[in-house]
Amino acid sequence: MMQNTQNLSTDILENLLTEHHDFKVDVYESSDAYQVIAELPGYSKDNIDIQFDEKTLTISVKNTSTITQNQDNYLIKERNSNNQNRQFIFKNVDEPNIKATLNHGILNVTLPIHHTKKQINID
Amino acid sequence: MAFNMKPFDNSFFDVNPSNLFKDFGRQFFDQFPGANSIKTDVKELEDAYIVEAELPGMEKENINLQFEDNILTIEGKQSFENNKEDENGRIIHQERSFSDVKRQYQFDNVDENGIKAAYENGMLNVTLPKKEKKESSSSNIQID
Repeated sequence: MMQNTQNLSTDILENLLTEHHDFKVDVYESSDAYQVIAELPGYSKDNIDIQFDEKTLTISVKNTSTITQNQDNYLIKERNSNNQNRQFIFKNVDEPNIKATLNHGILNVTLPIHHTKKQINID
Repeated sequence: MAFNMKPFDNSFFDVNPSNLFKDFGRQFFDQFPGANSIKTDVKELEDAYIVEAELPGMEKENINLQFEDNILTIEGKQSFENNKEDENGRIIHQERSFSDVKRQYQFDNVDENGIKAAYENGMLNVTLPKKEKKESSSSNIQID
């Protein structure tokens, strides 16, 4: 989704020409945690893989029903049936306490912030 | 290098014009027709049509499903709970839209009374059974 007009011409073209975008995500920051909210309708807990390695959060989904889809007769086919994958970088995260919930097709990942600011005193 | 120095050392020239239009892009795109439509797969089986519509994050009560005059209408109203996140803190990145959605599909030859729908995992699945084909009355026409 466009956030500014810096690359307006390329952004418009990309938006109009690309057939499949990956799942939509909102990212919020509060004083004690980051929240990543991803729209993943039609996926259950087993199809969604969430990893956090160093500073990178990776959310990926595998599509399980590709076999039947090729045989069915589709009048309209818009849903993204590929494997999808998105990554985000977060610093200062309290890794063991990352939590994720899935509700009504919305994945909500909470990454608590671990403040590492140290005050150094001059002797 | 000379061309990297700020002219007159004045922060006025630091302003990035695209910051003034930060929301312009988003509003511009929200007007595009079809950009915000409910993503749907529609399959045709031998005896029914199957509609799979993506409606993530809605409550069942806020989804309105109607079938009239061969037109299926799916309407979803966003509950205000979604806006709570805005008050919690800074928005780093926002792609999801929080507007109401509505879309219509045409299906001929459907048995209205047999339409079934279920909302699960953010997906609305609607099954529209086809009307049984009446005996086609094709008759041979004699040529005199």
